[in-house]
Amino acid sequence: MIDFLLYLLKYWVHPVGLISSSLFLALWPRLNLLEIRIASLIFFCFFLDLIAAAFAFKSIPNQWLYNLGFPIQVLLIAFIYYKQFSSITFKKYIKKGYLIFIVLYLIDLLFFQKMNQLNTYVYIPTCMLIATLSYFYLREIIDNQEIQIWKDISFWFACAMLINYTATAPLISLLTWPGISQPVWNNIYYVNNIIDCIWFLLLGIGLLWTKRQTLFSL
Amino acid sequence: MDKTADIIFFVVAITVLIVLLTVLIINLLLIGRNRRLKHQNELLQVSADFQHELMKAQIELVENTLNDISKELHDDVGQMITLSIIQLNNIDSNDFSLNTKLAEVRNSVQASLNSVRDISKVLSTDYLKTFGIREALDKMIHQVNKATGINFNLSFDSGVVFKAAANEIITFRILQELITNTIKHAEASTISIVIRNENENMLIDYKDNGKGLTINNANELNTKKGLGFTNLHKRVALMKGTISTPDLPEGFGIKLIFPN
Repeated sequence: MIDFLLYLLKYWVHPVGLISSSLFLALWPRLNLLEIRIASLIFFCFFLDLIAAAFAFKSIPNQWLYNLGFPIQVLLIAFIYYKQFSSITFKKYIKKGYLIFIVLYLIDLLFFQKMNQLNTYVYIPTCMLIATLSYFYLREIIDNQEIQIWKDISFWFACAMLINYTATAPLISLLTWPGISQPVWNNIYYVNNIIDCIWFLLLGIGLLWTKRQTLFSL
Repeated sequence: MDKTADIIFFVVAITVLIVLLTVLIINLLLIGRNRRLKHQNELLQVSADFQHELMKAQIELVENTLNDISKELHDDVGQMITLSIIQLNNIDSNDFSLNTKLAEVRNSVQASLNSVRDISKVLSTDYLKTFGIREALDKMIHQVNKATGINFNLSFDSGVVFKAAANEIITFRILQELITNTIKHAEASTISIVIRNENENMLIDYKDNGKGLTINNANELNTKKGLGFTNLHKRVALMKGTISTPDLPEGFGIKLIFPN
């Protein structure tokens, strides 16, 4: 057990993810609908990483777990953006985009990269689409001059998503580069973990910042 | 090994670059937003300044009109009534009953002349400018008390000095408006007025013991309509002050605070 905990500490994403998830959990009664949706995404990503780490610790391949988890993760993100965007055009794109993604993902899973290999063919364009969506969402928030952006979790969420998905796409594509050596793979994975840490941190800080008045009044 | 190190360095460099670019984009969006907000605030400020000037001009116009009416009343109507009194005095008759009737007419005409002079003084700001708000208020209170029987409690701090003459006139007009409202709507027997300095502000506390505000009146007050409150709000805004209506167990009260 201690060995496993030490293994988790080796990749910073797990302790940072745990802190962020705990923050959302602690403030659960005070969360609004968007914050609850973001919390669901955080919990899902954290537990997916945790279970994947447990498999890796036992030297059991865990790519299939990510392959199964990714469509759910995209579904959660698409749902959040679908609910948050005020533009009907974007809502339509999100709905159609998700259907196309699922079809392509299934094709990739069944005919190309299969279950035991990380399904990156669809992953990379999806990351880019999420990053684009995040950019437009960020613009929508910034253009709305009635909200105080720093005190709005949607701003932190859009920033976190934009940074995470623009930086992750090239990293994941390199992870499946043919003939890549194990030391390089490990280091790329490590950098990817740092990006994930930034994602968790931004959401955690965002939540603390938006709820700081509530926290001080506790 | 060198090749591996190169690839790792390349990957890290590209990732850092992407993250920095993303942060730069977010920053540019924020700068754009700040500029828009600044521009919007400037426009709002210009609009507020324009409104302020417009209100100032409106109130000056009203004051000038009132001054003109006051002068006309005093110089023209007052003059004619005085002439009428002189003419009445010149009528010489031995008829006792006619003399009695003439004396009654003389008294009525004299009373009219006094009223015209009083109204003229109330309308004019000359009296206010010459003798100050304290004297003008005392005079107005005396007249209202004589006409309606309403009692007044006026508390005027000795240290109160209006630094801006315009504010003195505006305050007087506000109190006139409030007293008129009390007479018209409140059925009150007592009005209490407190005028004092509080730090750098002037505070005016007005209360009556009338029937207070009904829901309709309160709504009108909130929407700044009716009851002469439109003018009141305008006047207070002109002094860059605030207006509040505290909940009172009886009657109606209003509190004005403005920088002196």
